[in-house]
Amino acid sequence: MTLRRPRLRRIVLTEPQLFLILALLIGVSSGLSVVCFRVAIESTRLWLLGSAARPSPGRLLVVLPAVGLVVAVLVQRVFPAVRGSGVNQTKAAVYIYNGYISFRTVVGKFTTSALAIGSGQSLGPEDPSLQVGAGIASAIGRRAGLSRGTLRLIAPLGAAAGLAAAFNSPITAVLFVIEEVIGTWSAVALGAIVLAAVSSAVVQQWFLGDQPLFRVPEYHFTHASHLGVYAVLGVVGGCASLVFVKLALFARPRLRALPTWTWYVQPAIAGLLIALIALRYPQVTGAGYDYIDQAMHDRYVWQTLAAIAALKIIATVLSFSSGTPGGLFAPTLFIGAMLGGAVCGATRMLFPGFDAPTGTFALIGMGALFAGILRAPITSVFMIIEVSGNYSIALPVMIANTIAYLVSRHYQRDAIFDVLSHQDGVRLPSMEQQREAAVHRVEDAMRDVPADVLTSTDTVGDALARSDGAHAILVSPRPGTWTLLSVQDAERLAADGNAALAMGTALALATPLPTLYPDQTLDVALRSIGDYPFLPVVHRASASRLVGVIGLDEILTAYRAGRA
Amino acid sequence: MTTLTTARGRPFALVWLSLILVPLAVVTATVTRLHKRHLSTLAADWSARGDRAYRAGLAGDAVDDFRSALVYARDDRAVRLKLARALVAAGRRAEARGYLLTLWEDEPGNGPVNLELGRVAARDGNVAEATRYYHAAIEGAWDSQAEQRRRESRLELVDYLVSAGDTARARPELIALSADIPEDVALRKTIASLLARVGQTASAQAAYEQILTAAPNDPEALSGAGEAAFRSGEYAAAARYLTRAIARGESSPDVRRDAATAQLVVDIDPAQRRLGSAARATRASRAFEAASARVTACLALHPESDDLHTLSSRVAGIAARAQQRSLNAHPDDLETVMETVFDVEMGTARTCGEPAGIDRALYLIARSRAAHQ
Repeated sequence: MTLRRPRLRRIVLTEPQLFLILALLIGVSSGLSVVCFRVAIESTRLWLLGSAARPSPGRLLVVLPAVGLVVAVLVQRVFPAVRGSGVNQTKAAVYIYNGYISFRTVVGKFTTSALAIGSGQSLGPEDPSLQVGAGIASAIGRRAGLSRGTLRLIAPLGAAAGLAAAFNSPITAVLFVIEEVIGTWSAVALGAIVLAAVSSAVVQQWFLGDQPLFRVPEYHFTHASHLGVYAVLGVVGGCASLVFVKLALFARPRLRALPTWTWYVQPAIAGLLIALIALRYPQVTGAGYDYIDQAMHDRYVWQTLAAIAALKIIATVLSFSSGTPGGLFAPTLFIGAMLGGAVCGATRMLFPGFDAPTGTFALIGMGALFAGILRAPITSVFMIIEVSGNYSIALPVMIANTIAYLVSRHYQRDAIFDVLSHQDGVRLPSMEQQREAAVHRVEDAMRDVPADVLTSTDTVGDALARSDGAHAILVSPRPGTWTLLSVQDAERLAADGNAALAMGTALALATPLPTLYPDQTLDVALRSIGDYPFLPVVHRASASRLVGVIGLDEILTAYRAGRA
Repeated sequence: MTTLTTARGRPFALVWLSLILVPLAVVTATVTRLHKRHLSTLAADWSARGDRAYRAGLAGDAVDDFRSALVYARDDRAVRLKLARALVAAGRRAEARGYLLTLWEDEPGNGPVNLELGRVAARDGNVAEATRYYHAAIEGAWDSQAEQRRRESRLELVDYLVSAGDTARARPELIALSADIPEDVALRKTIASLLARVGQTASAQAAYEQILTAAPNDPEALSGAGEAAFRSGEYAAAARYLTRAIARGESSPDVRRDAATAQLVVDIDPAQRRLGSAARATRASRAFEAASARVTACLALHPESDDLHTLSSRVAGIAARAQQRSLNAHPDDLETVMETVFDVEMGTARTCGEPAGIDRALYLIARSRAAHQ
C-alpha cells in the first residue's frame, strides 16, 4: 500500500487569491477580537465604576486616577507602542514598517485601552479597534508568508475590519481607511478591504446583535429654511473642531516635553480632573454612546448639551494629551451630537416655530465634527448616511460637513493626525495634502501645433521643403493616426526617387505614436514620452484634431514651475 | 513566528489560520453569552429597585434606578415607560415628555404611552394636547384589560376637564362613558358624581337612583341623589334623599345644610302639590312676613338703594292682601303676593347677598321659578 500525498499540497494559490482569502480570515478574526474588546471595556466599567448609570463620587475620584496610574505604568514599561489613538500607528506600519505591527502591541492596545476607557477616560474604542485589527492582520499576513508589498497592504485590511466591527458600519470603515490610511482607490485593495470590513461587521452583529450604537430618529426634509440652520451648525462645528484640535495640539507636545517621570502620573492627573468634571456631568466619561442616544431623543435642554460638549472637549484633550491609549472617534461624535442638539435647542428658543427634531441635528453635528476634527470629509458624509440609513439626510449633512471642514481647514492647515505624527518625529504621508496637491496637466505644459504638420496627401518633397531645420516632422498618414518622419528618412526617400510619394503611402506601415489628451496629467505624459522628441496632444472627441504637442523639455519645465 | 513562504505551503497556512479561529470563536461566544446574561440581570435588578423606590414614593431614586436599568436594556419599552412615570412623579415633566415622545414615535397607538403623555400635558395645563393624547389612549392598544383601561382613561380625561373648568368638553365624554358601564357601584358613583359636577344634575340624579335600586341604603348614593335633586330644584326629592342619607350616617355639613334648606322649601312653598287652599294661604302669608322683614333689614343696610325702596313700597302696598284671612277669602291674590315675595328675595339677594333660613328657601324657590320661566 502506498501513502498518498495530501491533496492540499496540489492546491497552489497565487498571492492575489491568497490575499482575498486572508481578507475574509482577517475580517472574522478582527471581528472576534473587537467583540471581546467591547465586552472587556463594558466589563471593566462595571467592575471599576459599578453598574449605576451615575457612578458614585467616591468611585470616580479613586478609580480614574488609580487606573490612570496603572495604564501609564503599562504604557511606559510594558507596551511603549500603544500610546495614542492607533490611526497614526497603523499608517506608520503601512508606510515605514512594511506592514509590521507586533502582536505585543495588539495585546497592549487591547488591555490598556479597555482599562482606560472602562475606567472612564474620555476616549473611544474605535481607533484602538482599528489598530488591533491592523495588528491581527499583520500577524496573519506574516504567518501566511506574504511578500513585503502585499504585507504592506494587509494592515489596512485589518484596520478596516477593526473599525467596521467597532463602529458597526462597514462602509464608513472602508472609506475611512481608504481616505485616511492608504489614500488610493486600488481595485485589489478595495475588494479585499470591503471583504474584510463586511465579514468583520457580520461577526460583530452575530455576537452582539444588530443593535446600533445609538437609536437614530427618522429624518424628513420638511422646510428649506432648515438648511440655513444646518449651515450655522456647520460653522459652530468647524469652530468647535478648531478649539479641540488646537487645544490637543497645544497640550500634547508640552506634556510630552515634561520630565519622563511625569509621564507616569499624567494619565492619573487627567483621570482626577475628569473625575471632578464627572461629579457634575458623568456624561463626559468613556465613549458616551448612551448619552449620544439620550441627546438624540431630547433628554437634555440645550444649555446642558452645550455645557457637556464644552466639558467633553476638555476631558478628551486631557485624556488624549496625557498619553492614555484610546481613540478620538467616539469623543468627536459625542461632541458633535451635543453641539448639534444645542444648536437645535437654541434655534427653537429663538424661533419658537422651528420644528426640526433634535435627533437630526445631533446626527448632523456628529458628521460636522467628524469632518472638522478628523478631516475625512467623504467618510463623514457616508458615515451619517450609513448610521441613519436615510439618504435624504445627505443634503444637510453635506452642507454642515463641508462648512465645518472648510472652517477647520482654513484656520488649521494640517490635519490633526498629520500634526500628531510630526510631533512624534515621524513624517507620514498626509492624505489630505495628497488630495489637495496641485495636479499638473498636459494642457498646462504643451506647446502650440507646429506649422510643419503633414497630412496623408502631402509628399516627401513637401516634408523636406517644410522641415525648416527640424529633426522630425509630425505626420498624420491616416485620419486619427500620428507618426514622426525624421528629416534623414525623408532625404533618403527623396534620394531614391520618391520625392513625389504621398505620406499616406510612404508611412503606411509606420508605428503610430502614442497620443495624449489635454486633461491627462504630466505623469502620464512622462511615462508615454519615451525617446520620442515630442508627442501629439489630440482632442478627446476626435483623434484627428491636433491641439498641441508636448516634449520632455515642456514636461520638466512645467514640473519645475509647479515646485517653485 | 515561522512563515510558510512557498506557494505550496499557503493552503496549509490558511487551514492553520482557520483552525485558530475556531477556539477564538468559542471563547468569544462564551464571553458574550455570559456578558449578556450579566447585563440582563443588572437590568432586571435595577428595574426592580426602581419599582420599589417608586412604590415608596421616592420618585428621584426611582428615576436613577430606572435610568441604570436602561443602560443595560436600552430598548426595554416597559422600563422606559416606568422611567417616564417616575420623572412625572419627580416633577421633571420635560424629561418625561422626551422619553414618552420617543416611545410614542415607535408606537403612536400605544394606550399607556398616550395616557402618560396626556397626564403630562394635563399637568402642563395644555388642555388641547391633553385631550388629544387622552383620546389616543382611549382608542389605543392596551396589553391587558383593555376595556377597563380605556374607561379609566376617559374617566381621567373627564375628571381633568371638569377640574380645568371645561365642562363643555367633559359632557360628551361623560355621556359616552355612561353609555356602556359595567355593574360596578364605585364606577357608577364616580360617573354620577362627575355628571353632577358638569351640571348634568338630572342625569346625575338618575344615575344615583339607578345605584339606589341596587343599594337602597348607600349613604353616598343617597346624598348624591339628594344633592343632584337639590340642584335641579327637586326639593321634595332632595329633602327625602338627604334625610335618608343623614339617617344612614352621612355627616357632611353641606348635606345637613341642604337637607334643612330642602325641607324648608318643602314646608314653605305654597305651590307644593296636594295642599289645600288654607294651607297655601298660610304658607304665602308666612312667606310674605319673611320677605317683608328681609326687605326692611336690607333697606336699613342700604338706604340709598332705589330698588329696595321700590320693593319696600310694593310690600307695603299689598300687606293687607297678604294677610292669611284675606288670602283665604281671595285665593286669587296668592299669586300676586308670592310674586312680590320672590321679587323681594331676588332683589335683596342682589344687594345684600344670599340669605339664610326661610329667606334662603324662598330665594331658591324664586330662582327655580325664574329658571323654569
